[in-house]
Amino acid sequence: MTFKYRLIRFPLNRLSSRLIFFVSIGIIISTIALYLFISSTQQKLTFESFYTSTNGTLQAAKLGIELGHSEEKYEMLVQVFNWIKTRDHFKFIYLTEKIDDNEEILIGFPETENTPISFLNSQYDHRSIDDSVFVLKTAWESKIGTGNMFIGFSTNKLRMYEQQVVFDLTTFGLISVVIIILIVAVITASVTKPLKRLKEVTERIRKGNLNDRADEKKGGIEVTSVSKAFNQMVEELSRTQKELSNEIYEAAVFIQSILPEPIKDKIKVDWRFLPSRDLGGDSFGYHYLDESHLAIYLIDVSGHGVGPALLSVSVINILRNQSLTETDFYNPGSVLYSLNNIFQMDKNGDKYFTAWYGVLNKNTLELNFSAAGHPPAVLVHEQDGEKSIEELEIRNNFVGFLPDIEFDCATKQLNQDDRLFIYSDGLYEIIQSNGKVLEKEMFLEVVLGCSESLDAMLIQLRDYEKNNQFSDDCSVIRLSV
Amino acid sequence: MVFYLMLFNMSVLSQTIIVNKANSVDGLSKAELHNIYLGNTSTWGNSKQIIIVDYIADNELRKNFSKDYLDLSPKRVSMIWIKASLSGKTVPPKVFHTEDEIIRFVSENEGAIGYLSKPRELPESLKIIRVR
Repeated sequence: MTFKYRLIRFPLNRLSSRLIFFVSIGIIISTIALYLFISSTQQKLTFESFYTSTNGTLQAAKLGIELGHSEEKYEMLVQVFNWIKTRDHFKFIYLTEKIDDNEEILIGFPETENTPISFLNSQYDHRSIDDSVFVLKTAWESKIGTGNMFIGFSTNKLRMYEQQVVFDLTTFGLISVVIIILIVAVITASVTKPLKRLKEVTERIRKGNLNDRADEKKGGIEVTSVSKAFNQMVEELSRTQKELSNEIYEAAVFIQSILPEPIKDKIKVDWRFLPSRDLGGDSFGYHYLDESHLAIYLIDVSGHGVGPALLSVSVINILRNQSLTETDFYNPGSVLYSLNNIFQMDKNGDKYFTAWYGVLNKNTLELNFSAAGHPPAVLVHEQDGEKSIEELEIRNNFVGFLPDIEFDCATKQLNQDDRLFIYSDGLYEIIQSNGKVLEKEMFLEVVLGCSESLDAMLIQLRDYEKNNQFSDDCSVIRLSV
Repeated sequence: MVFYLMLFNMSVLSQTIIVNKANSVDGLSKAELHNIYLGNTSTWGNSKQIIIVDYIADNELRKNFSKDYLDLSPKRVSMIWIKASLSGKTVPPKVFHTEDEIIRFVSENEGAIGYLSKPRELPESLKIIRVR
């Protein structure tokens, strides 16, 4: 929730901003309400007291005037007049006299005031203090005459008082807003700071540091209880994670254990296998079908985890034990055909695999091979110290896609000192630190350069990987003749 | 002497105007008396302050005096004096209930002027002045 006006960009998705925003609005509204309530009440009260005091002055003056008048005690009249002039808020006084039907001003103070009686009457007893002068009127009567007395009072002080109330309330409101903002800032900090720490811990745990824990002591009881629950959760997670990774590790060890020993004969076979952290679907094997024919096979089941690993192992077991009926294990096409019919993906949890299968005649060095969706084997030929490289292309569909499809085979005559590399895609599908996939030419260059040492080849290829670690299973078999 | 005074007064005017014996004034015109009693003249010839002495407003003698010498009702005269006293320009008249009080006051105050209803025995300290 963010205001998207040009002038106001107030991030209301922050807890503290939201609190400050709403609390401030609350205070402003309550201050205005308070102001309206207090000012109207105060105005009423102030007006009442103003009216009472001014009316008191008027009545006292009336008595004095009437008495002095009756007795013709002129000194007394002068005293009454002088007394009136000293009253609070006094502005003017007019004494009128009625002669027959006429009323005329007998005397006024200050004398500069030259106000007609009609005006005085119209202003008389204005109950509003909006006017600057508040006029009170009373009739006086004595033996020797009658008339009216008008006394005007200034309302400036009332106005000033009103302004003071407004100023006081505004100051009160502002100070309250500032104080509340400070309080809210402190309170939200006490909530958000531990949350921020918790977030940092979560971040570290996400990156793999399962031993990190949240601080269970800082913050309020709500925060510490969240931290405790969080820690228990992480504890539980790391425990199950350890169990799982132990099991996966055991599975990986088992897969490694069924892989054949290297052959150190006239025909040499060596391999390297780097299973990915979460167990992949690579598996391979080789065995002599008879004294002169060596079968070599490598499969790569799609996906990672226990499922692909199990499928991969069962395929390898079938090939190793040659437990496929009506299958010519000397013929790669026949083998892939049978595998394809057994391992259709709709019956195997939507898993398919790529496979490479080859049979080498030890005596003639003739290699009969086929591949199903698998990267081509690479042949490194060396003659008179000159090395050349060749990919043994053969294109077929991967295993499990469609039943009853034929798999093409090819034959390649190998020569003395040739080296054949059979590998899974994990070896060359490398994402470099610049985000680009390693080019095929570069891969082949590495293979050519490191044909003597599988370890050197893996290290060099691994260095291209952005995390210096193969993300997929990585298998490579080297056949040296 | 008394008889003469009585004759003189009654034949000319109904009231007897009296001042303190120390006052050098012997006679006043009607206009001068008018000015004195309405506050227009505030000092005697020797610049001594005039102290006017009068009866209370509903006194018959005052009514006659106001009518004869001032051509105004006593209420009106009173109003004029209220106005004058509130504006602080002149010293307003001293008001008494009886002639004896007036006689005593005028005897004791050098600048005082008053009036009586008829010729009578007066103390040494007073003198009657003629109004022309």
